[in-house]
Amino acid sequence: MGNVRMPESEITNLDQQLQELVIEICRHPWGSLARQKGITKLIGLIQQSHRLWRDTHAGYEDALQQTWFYVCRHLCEAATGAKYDPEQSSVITWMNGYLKYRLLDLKQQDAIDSQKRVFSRQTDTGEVLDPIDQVPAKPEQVPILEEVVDWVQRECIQLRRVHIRDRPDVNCEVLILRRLLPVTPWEQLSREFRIPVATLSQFYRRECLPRLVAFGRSQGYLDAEP
Amino acid sequence: MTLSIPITPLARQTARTFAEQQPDTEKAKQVYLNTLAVWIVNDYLQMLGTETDLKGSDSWNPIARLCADIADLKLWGSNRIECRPVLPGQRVCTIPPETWEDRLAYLAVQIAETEREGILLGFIPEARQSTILLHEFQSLDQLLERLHAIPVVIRLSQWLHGAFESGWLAIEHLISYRETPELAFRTRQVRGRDPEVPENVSVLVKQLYREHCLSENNLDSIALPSDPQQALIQLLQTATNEELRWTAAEILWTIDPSNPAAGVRRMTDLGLQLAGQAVALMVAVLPQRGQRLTVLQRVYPMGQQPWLPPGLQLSIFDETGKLFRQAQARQRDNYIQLKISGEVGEEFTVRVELDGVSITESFMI
Repeated sequence: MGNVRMPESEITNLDQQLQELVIEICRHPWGSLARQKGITKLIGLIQQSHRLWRDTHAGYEDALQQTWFYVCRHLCEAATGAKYDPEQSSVITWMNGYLKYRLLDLKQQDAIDSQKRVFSRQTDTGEVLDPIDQVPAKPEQVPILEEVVDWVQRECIQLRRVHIRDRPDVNCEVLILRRLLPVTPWEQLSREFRIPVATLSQFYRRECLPRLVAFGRSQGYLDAEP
Repeated sequence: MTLSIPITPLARQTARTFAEQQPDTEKAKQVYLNTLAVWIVNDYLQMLGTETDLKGSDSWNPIARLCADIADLKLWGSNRIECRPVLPGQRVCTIPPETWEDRLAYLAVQIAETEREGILLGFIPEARQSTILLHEFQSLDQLLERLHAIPVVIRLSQWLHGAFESGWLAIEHLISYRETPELAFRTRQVRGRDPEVPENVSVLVKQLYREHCLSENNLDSIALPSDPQQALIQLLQTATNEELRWTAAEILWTIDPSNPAAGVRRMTDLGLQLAGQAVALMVAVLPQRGQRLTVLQRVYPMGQQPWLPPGLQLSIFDETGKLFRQAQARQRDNYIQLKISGEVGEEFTVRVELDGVSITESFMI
């Protein structure tokens, strides 16, 4: 029996530690340094405990992330839902309870979706496959590169005027084009122009990037709400 | 201690979309990982209540991310941090020269092979070389300390563009109707009436129009729109009397909180820092003509207590530190307030004080 009691008391010790941490966290206002450090410690301890509910559902991370947001926001105050009540349960039990509800939501949504259509990227276990190496580049769809090259050509007179001091040959037009495809490494440009990498990249950041960013905005190239 | 942040399907899908805009595979992979790293750090900071501006980041600008190896996350004001992806097994973090400036911190984010979690490994405050050993990175606690050490000047003109400093939250985040119905009720009162009740709104609107006609010396000719919302918006756009405009804005905050005509308001919880009394500072901003803004500062009691502690002072100081305006809570004041207006760029400080303990916030219009 002794080896059964051991982990139980460890669990109790951790719960006790978390309970005390929650009290400490709630002594400080939301957004304060002490509150943020406390929450970071709490998340770390919960993750190390390996007592978080696991699930193989493809949307598990979504449910888990919603849960972390919920936990952080409801530990000390009621925001969108009720505040955590330490009298009722340990933090981990409370968190797992919320997580299971979010997973249940996802599974119910699956049942509705499966009646509609099946996603092509999913395996038969429902897992979404997207390894990094399979990320495709589809330049033909959004010819941003061409747009930038066209813009540099249109604006070349202006862009040539902006250059590194005493080096009219190292100007915005040249650097933007050399850093576009194929990307010339900074070290190579540094050797070629005999200018330190830090100076070149500083010029690029201060003079070239803001112009590119502004061009992006003027073209309405802004990403939609994720 | 390192932290693991889940990578959601939406994060992967967004990263994939950004990657697909790139002209070749290598660049696509870079953008994919950068996007995930920024997303993960954004999630972490938002969990802690730190304001971030993901869409204002260069990494979220399609041209900038094509032309630079960039993974910045914009915070409040002009502050940015760089979120560098690291793959499992890597012992160094790569920091491209185009990100060596204008960053408060460089975070290393390990993207798991499964792409289901990101691990926040730590941060360094500065970078002047392309690769840095991961064991040189400092803890997340030190990162938080660094972010809190930035002197914050709250830029009110930016509020109108939706950019808020850390700790300044929408009223609903601090005052929950469910949790503290009494407090929610008290904070929305206008001239002793609750605008949740439609009859009260029409009474208030009629009062305001009478006063509007009087103050504009225009006794009958200002038509009152039948829709109270329209009537309030018209008042906000045409009235020159600031008191009337503020009252109209206050009613609108309850009946149509997201209406841009009512300006912006945010609140910060001052906690129990003032002799154990829980109070919050609300700041509301209304555009005036031209480059001018008018600003309302109001201190509320928080939690269950209905009144402010008597003697609590709210003061505004001008750029030179000279006292400009002051208000003091009496017995049974449910709030105290001050109003000022000024041109964009003007600075002032606000102090809330009780029994010799004070909290000061700096603002720029």
